[in-house]
Amino acid sequence: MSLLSLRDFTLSFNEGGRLLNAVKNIFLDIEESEMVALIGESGCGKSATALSLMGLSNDDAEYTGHIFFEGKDLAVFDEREWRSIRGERISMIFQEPMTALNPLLRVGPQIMEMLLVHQRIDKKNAKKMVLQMLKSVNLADEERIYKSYPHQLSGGQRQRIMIAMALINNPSLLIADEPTTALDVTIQAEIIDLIKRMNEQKGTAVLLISHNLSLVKGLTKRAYIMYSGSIVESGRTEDILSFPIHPYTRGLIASIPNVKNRGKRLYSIAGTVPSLEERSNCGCPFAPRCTIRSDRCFSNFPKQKDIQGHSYSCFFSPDEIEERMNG
Amino acid sequence: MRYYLRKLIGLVVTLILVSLVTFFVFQILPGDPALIILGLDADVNQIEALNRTLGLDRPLTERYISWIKGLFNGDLGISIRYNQSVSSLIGQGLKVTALLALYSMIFTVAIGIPVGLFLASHSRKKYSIPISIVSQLSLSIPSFCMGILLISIFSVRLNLLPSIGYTPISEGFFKSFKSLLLPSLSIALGSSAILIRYVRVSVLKEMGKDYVRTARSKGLSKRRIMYAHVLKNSLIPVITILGLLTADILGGSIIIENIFSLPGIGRLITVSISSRDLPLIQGLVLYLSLIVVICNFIVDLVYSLVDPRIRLR
Amino acid sequence: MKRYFSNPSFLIGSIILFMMLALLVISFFHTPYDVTAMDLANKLAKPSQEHFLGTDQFGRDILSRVMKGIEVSLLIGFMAVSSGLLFGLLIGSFSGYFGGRLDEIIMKIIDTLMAFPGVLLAMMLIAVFGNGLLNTIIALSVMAVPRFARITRSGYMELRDSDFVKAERIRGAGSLRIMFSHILPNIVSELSATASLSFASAIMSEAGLSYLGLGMQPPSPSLGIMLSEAQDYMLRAPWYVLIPTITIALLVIAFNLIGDGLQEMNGGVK
Repeated sequence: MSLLSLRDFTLSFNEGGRLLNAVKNIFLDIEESEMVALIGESGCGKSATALSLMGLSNDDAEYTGHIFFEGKDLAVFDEREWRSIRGERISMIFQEPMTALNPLLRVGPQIMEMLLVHQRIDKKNAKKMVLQMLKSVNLADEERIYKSYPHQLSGGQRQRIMIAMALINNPSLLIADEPTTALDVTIQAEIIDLIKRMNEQKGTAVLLISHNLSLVKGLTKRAYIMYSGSIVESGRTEDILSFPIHPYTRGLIASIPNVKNRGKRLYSIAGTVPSLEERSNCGCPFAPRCTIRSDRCFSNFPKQKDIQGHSYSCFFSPDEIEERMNG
Repeated sequence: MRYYLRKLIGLVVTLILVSLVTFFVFQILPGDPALIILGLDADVNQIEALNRTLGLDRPLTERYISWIKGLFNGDLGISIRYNQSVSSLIGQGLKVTALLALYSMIFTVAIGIPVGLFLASHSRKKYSIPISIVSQLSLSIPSFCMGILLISIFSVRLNLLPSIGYTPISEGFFKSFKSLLLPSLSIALGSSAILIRYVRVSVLKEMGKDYVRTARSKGLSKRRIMYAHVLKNSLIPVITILGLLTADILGGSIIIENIFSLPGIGRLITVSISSRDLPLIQGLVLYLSLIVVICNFIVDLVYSLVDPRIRLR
Repeated sequence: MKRYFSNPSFLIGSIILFMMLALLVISFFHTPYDVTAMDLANKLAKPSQEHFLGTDQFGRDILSRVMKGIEVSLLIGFMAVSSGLLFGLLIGSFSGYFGGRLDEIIMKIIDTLMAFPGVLLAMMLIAVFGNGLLNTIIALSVMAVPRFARITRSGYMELRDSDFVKAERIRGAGSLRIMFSHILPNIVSELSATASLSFASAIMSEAGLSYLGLGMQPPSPSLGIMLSEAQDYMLRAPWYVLIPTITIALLVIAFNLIGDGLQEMNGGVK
C-alpha cells in the first residue's frame, strides 16, 4: 500500500451557491521514501492540492473522494485529528521563505516549537535536537543561527530553516511547494540538493511541486502533470520528459529553453490558465488552449489511458497527437 | 544605537519647540498683560508691581531662559489666583489627574484588547454586528456626554456611585477608586472603542500572513497560533495607538474633571484661564504637553524593543 | 450617489444630520417660543403639550433653545472647519509639493502643535485672545489645521512624482496649476472624510469649551452652556440635562459616521 494515495479526490469551494472545483477527480500515489513531482503552471491547482493534504484549505472548502495516508482516510478528519498529522506525519515548506517565518521570534524557538507541540521532550533536549538539525541542513554556526531573527538571515538560509523545521519530527512525507522559486538561481540548486539528501538520509517521501519541468529532471522518479485541477499525464519522470504525450505536456517541454532550440523563438502555449470561475465543468480542461482539439474535447472528459505505467488523458493516441501537432 | 540617538535628539527638539510655543503664545497677548489681569481700572503702581513679579520688565529671551531654568528647578513662578507656587499646584493636581488617566488607560486596554481580539476571531459571526454598533456609538459620543449619561444612570437613577467629588487614596483605596470610577469609564469607553477597531483590523491583517499558514502547518492549535504568534505581531501597531490615546485621555480628562468636580489639572486649567492666571496657564500647558511628548517617546522605545526589525533601520 | 448611501455608516450619519439640518432651517423662521423669554412661574417644567422638551431654570422653552443651540454648533463647526481646511490645504500643499527645507520646518511646527492634547491648544488660544464667538472659531480652526495640513501633504508627496504629474510638467503646466487643478482633485475624497471628522471634533470642542465657560458666553444658547446650567438641576429635572447631552452626541455621531463612511469608501479601515 502506498504511503499517500489520493483516490478520486475533488476539492471544491462554495462560491455564492456555485460549487467551483479547484481540484477535480484526481488520483495520485506516493510510495514510502519516494520523491514525486507535481508539475503545472501557476493557478492550475497544485498548491490547492498541497494545502488539502495538510487540511489547510479555506474554511469553505469541501472534500470528496479519499486521501489515504498511512492507512487512514484524511478526507474525513476533523481539525483535532488534522493537528496530529500536520508537522508530525506530513510537513510542508513554502515558496516564500521571506515571509513564512514569524518575524518577531528567533528562528531556533520557532523550530523548537515543532518538537514541543508534538513530542514529550524537555526544552534542553529539544534545543539540542534543533542545533543538530540546523547542522544537518548545512547551517554552520548553528548557535548563532539559533538566536537569529528571520530578517537577519538570507532567503536561502531561511528556506533551510523551513526545511529543518519541517523535518525535525521525522515526518513520513514532506510537501515542498515551489521551494526554490523565490530564491536566487545559485541557491536553488543547493536547496534542491538538500531536499534530495534529506530524502535519501531520512527516507522522507517528498512531493515536489513546481512549475518548472526541467527542475525535476533526474531528481524525482515519477511526475504528475496537472492542468486546471486535473491530472493530464503521469508516469516516470524520464518517460514524460523524453516522450511527452499530452499536448499540454508537450507545450510545457517545448517552452523549456535548451540546446536544440537555441536561437529559435521559444515556444509558448497560447492563452492562460482559466481562473476558478472561468473553468467549465465538462470536457477536457485543456481544450480551449489545445492546438489539436476537436469538438468532442469540449463535451466529454477523456478517459485516462495507460501505456506501461505512463498515463495520459487525451482522446487521441500518442501517434495521432504527434501527427496532428507537427502537421 | 544610532536609532535611539536619533530618537533622543528628536525628543529634545520637540521638547524645546513645545516650550517655545507655550512661552511665546502668551507673549502675543494683545495689550498689556498686567492690565488684562488686573482690569482696566487698576492703578499704575499695581501694574508696575505685577509686571515686576511676572518679570515682564525684562527682555523676552531672558524671560524664556529663566522660565526654562525654573522648570528644571521646579519653580514656574507664583500663581496669581491662588498665590501659591505653580509647581506645587500642578503637583497636587497631577496626583488626581495621573490616577484618573491611569484608571482610564487600564479600562481602555482591559476593554479594548480582549473585545478587539474577540471581534477579530469571530469576524463572521452574527453577534459581532451588535458589538460593532455599540463600539461605533461609544466611539462617537463625546466623553463629557458619556460622563453626564453615566451620572444620570448610576448616580441619579440607581444611586450606586457618587456623582461628583474626589476621595483621595489616603481615605481608603476602594472609596477613592469609587470616586474615579465613573470619570475614568467616561473617558475609557470612547478610547477603548478606538482601540477595539485597531486591534481588530490589525489581528485580521496578521491572520492572513504567510507565517500564520506556517504555524498552522506545524500542527499548532488555533489558540496557540493566536497567542504565541499572531498576538504579539498584531499588537505592535496597537502600541502607537496607545501613545495617541494618552494624549486623547489627557485632553478628555480636562473636561471630565470639571463635570465630576475633580481637583485635578483639568480643573486648574479651567480656573486659570477664566481668571487669566498667566504663570499657572503656562506651567500647566507646558506640563501637559511634555507628558504627551514623553509618552510618545516611550511608545517609540517600547516599539523598538518589541520589534527586532526596527533597531536595524 | 447611490454608492454613498449603500454604506451604512454614511447613511445613518446622513439621516441624523438631515434631521438636525431640518431643525436648523426651521429655527431660522420659527421657534416655538422666544429663546430668551423667561417664565419663572413655569420653571423646570416637565415635557408637556406646551413645552415639548420642558422648560429650564428660568422657564425658557428648552426645545427652542436646543434649536438655536444646534445653529450655534453648526455655525461654529462650519466656520472652524472651513478656515482650518483652507489654511491646512495651503500649508500642506506647498509643503508637500515643494518639499525640502521648508517642508521640514513646517512639519516640525505641525508636529509640535499636534503634541498638545486635544482641546488644550484651543484653550491656550482662548487664554490669549479671550472667549466669545469669533475667538472660539479661531481657536477651533487652529486646532483643525494640523490634521488637514498632514493629510494634504502626504497626498501631495505621493502624487507629485506620479506619471500624470510628470506628464503635465512636460506639457509645461505651472506649479500652481498642477497643484490645484491636477493633484487637488485626487485628494478631495480624503479631505472630505477628514473634514467630516474635524467637524465632529469642532462641535465637541465648542460644547466642551462653552461648558467650561471658556467658549460662548450666556445667554447665548450654546449646547455646552445649556449642559453646564442643566447639570445643577440633575436631581430635580433629570430630563433637562439629557437633552443637550443627547443633542451634542447626535451631532457628533452624525459627522463621525459620515466621516467613517467616507473613509471606508476611500478604502481605509473597514
